[in-house]
Amino acid sequence: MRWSTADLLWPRFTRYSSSSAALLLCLESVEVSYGPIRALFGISLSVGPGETVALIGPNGAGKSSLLHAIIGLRRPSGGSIRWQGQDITGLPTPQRISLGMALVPEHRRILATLTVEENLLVGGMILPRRLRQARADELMERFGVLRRKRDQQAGVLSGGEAQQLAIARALMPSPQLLLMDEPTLGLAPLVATQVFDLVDELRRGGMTLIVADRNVRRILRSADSAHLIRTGQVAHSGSADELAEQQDLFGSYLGDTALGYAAPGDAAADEQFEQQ
Amino acid sequence: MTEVAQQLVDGLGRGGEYALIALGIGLIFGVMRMVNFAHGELITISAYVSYGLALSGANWWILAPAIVLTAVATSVLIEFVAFRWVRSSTDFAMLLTSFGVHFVVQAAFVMYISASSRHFARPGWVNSTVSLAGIRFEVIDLAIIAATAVSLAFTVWVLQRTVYGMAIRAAAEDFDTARLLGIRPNQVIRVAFALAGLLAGIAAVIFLMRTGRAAPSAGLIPMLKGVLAALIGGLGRLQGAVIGGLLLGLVEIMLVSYLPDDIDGMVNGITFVLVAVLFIFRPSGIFKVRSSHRP
Repeated sequence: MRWSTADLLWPRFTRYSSSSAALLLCLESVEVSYGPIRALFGISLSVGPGETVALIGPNGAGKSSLLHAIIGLRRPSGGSIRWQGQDITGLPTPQRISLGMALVPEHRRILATLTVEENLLVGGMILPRRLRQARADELMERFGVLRRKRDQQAGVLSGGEAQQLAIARALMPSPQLLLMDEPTLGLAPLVATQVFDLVDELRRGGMTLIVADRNVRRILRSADSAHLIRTGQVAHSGSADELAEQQDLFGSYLGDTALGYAAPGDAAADEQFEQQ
Repeated sequence: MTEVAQQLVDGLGRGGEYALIALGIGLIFGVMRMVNFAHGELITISAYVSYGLALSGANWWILAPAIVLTAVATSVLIEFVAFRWVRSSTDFAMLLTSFGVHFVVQAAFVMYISASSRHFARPGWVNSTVSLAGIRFEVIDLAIIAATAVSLAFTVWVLQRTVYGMAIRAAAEDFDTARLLGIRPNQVIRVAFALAGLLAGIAAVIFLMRTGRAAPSAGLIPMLKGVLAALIGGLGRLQGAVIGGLLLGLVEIMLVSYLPDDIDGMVNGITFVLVAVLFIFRPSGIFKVRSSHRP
């Protein structure tokens, strides 16, 4: 059977109809602290079904803290998080995974001592037993390198292969909302391009995505809307196209024109990124 | 040659018992980052259950499964009653809790039963010998080696082939990532404690068949030897726990065989010194230990 995007996103146990007009996720005045240090200061945002949201901002702005608050790894010290209208602010991470969220964590966090296949099977813990292996096979078929290395320990994978495994593992339970934290960090530009292509593919398939990435130009191209995060607050929100046009924002908030932070309209930098 | 073969079987028999306990300690350390000094209480409580059943006329066909069931249930219960509530505290608090459970159980038996040992009948075949290739072996040693091999094979199967085993390994490597994959900490820790209890239960059957004795401190020495074996192998490394247990058993038997009779009582002391020497050269034990943290 040939794999298709629809199979990847909405297999037999589809739980969600993208025709729903209700908001999928809604954050209201979310605050996060690490001991006495506050990382997020009252962030509010909402995400509709099938929407791709980019989180952009400098290092240490709070993008990862925001994703951790959404997935439940970091409990907010204030504010609320609602999932399809239900308050999930205090819900532990595993229960949020069961609701239909998944995170591709920063630095991939592959389980190095487990094999590639075991990483996938563990990623599908919440699936019924009979579906777990079928889903793993399906994803290994989609990500060919994982099929070829299914019995190898995941610790020996290259950065790009490990990122594919991290994404495939997050897709195991067929989440409705996929969070991606710096999915291209540390990857060669060509591999990073493949990751962005996958983001586009998932988006076309109707998946809801929130992606934090340093390649601002490129991620805005894949997103519907974007939030510029700075010092734990939303400094600017808008459609991805709108933000891409406001080049002055990039100078003010991101502070440089290096490859990763180059303004979206910077054609020369775009070309350089694609060529690398 | 005959003597060496007998010592080898004897050493593997004793080492297998240590390996079963060490593997349980290693499993719990893997998911909790805690050395469980209360692990020996599984043997102590099982010993008193055996004593009670033996008094009412039960034979070893009833005692053996009862011991295993008691150890599994006690292990899960201790996790629920004692450890779950201090899991987010410091390592020191966890360690103190495990000592606390050890002393509370020991004191309860002293107060409500007796400080002295209670004896019950051992299986009739426990002292029989069998001749293989002209060499005489104790049947219990061969039975222990077989039971240990089956138990270890079962443990490997659970850890490698079942999704719960994979979840235990995932949690042992990185609990935050395990949680991100939907693994529920309470569930995976309960499975680890149940598996550790099962292994301790099998070790308890072996131990009680040898000794036929229930005492408040019955589990102390097996627990200490299990901790030592787990440390030798590299705390948290499961294959290390098995190898550590077998090595410890072999070294002890060799020392008993070759030390002069007048310093025979120094076996434990010399074993600890040898282990200390090992740690000078291999501070993490035979296998390198990964660092992680508790859920």
